Amino acid sequence: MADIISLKNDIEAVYDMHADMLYRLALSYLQNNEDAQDAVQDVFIKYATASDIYRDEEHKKAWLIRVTVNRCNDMLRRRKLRTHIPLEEAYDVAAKHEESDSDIMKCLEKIPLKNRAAVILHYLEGYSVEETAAVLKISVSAVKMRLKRGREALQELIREVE
Amino acid sequence: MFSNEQVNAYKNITAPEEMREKVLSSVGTKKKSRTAAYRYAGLAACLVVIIALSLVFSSMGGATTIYTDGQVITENGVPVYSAVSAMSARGVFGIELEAELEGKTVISSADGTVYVYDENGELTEGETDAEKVSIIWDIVPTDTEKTYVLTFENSRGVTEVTLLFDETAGWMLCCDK
Repeated sequence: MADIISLKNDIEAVYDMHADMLYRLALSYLQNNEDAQDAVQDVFIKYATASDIYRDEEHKKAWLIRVTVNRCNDMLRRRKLRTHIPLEEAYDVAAKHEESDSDIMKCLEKIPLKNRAAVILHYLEGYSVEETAAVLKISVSAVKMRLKRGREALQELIREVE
Repeated sequence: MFSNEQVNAYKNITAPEEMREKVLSSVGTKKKSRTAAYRYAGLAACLVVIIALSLVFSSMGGATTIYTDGQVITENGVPVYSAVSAMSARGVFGIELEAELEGKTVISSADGTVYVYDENGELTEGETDAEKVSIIWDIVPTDTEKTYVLTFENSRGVTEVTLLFDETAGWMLCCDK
C-alpha cells in the first residue's frame, strides 16, 4: 500500500515537472491534441511499469524524451498504415487537424521526423548540442547534421511562402 | 532559426488540464514492476523476432553500405584522416570511399567532382550497376559551417554521405539513409 502511494506521488511529481514539455514534443510530431495526450499517457504508463533506475533528474528527463519520441514515431507508423478512413471518421480527422494550427507547429511539421527532436530540443527547449546528443543518445556530429537538415527544411518552407 | 516570438509561442503550449486526470488515473492502476516470468517471455519473443528479421534481411541482401578507410560510415560519423593527409596544395580533399550497392545506382554530388570505378577499375559515368565500387570524391571544403553531400540513389532509396566539420573531431563523414 505504501509502495502504491509513493509511486503515485512520484508520478505526480514527474508529471508536474515534465508533462508540458513532453506534450509539446508529442504535439509537434503528431499535430493532434488527442493523439499527443495519448502518447504522453503511454509514456507515463511505461514510466510506472518500467524498472529502470535513473542516475538523476536529467537522466530521467532524457529517458522520458526518448520514450516520447519513440512512441510518437510508432503512432505515426500506425497512422500511415491506416490509409483507408471511413467517411464519418474523416470529418473527425479534419476537425482534429485544425486544433494544431499554430504557426510554430506548422513550421515544425515541415521538419523531417528524424531531425525534429534535435531541432526542438536545441532551438526551442534550449539544450546545447552536447546535451541534445546525450538525450537522444547520438553523437554530437549526428546532432549537427540533423540540425543542418532541419534548418534546410525550414529555409525551403520560407522560400515556398515567399 | 526561430524568432523569439516563435520560441515563446512554443514554450507557452501547456498540457491540457484533462490530460493530468487521464494520465494519473491510468498509471495509478499499474504495478511498478513486471513478474520475472512475464519479462523472460517478452525477452524470448524479442529474440525470436530478431532472429527471424536477421534471416529475412540476410536473404534480401543489404542496402547501400559505404566505407572509408575500411570503416563503415554511420550516422555517428567517421573522421576522414586519409583525405586530410592526402590534401593537395590547392586544398583539395581526395576522399576515398568504397560502396556496396544493389541495382543500378546513381552517385552524384553538387560539390566537387566524383569519380566512380567499378570492380575492374573502369571509370563509370552516370549510373552504375556494379555491386562494389571505389569512389574518389575531390572536393575543396572552403567553409567549415557548410556541409557537403554525396548522394547514392537506387531502388533501395537514397543514401547520403555528408562531409561536415566538427570542432573536436575535424572533418567527418556521416551517413544518412
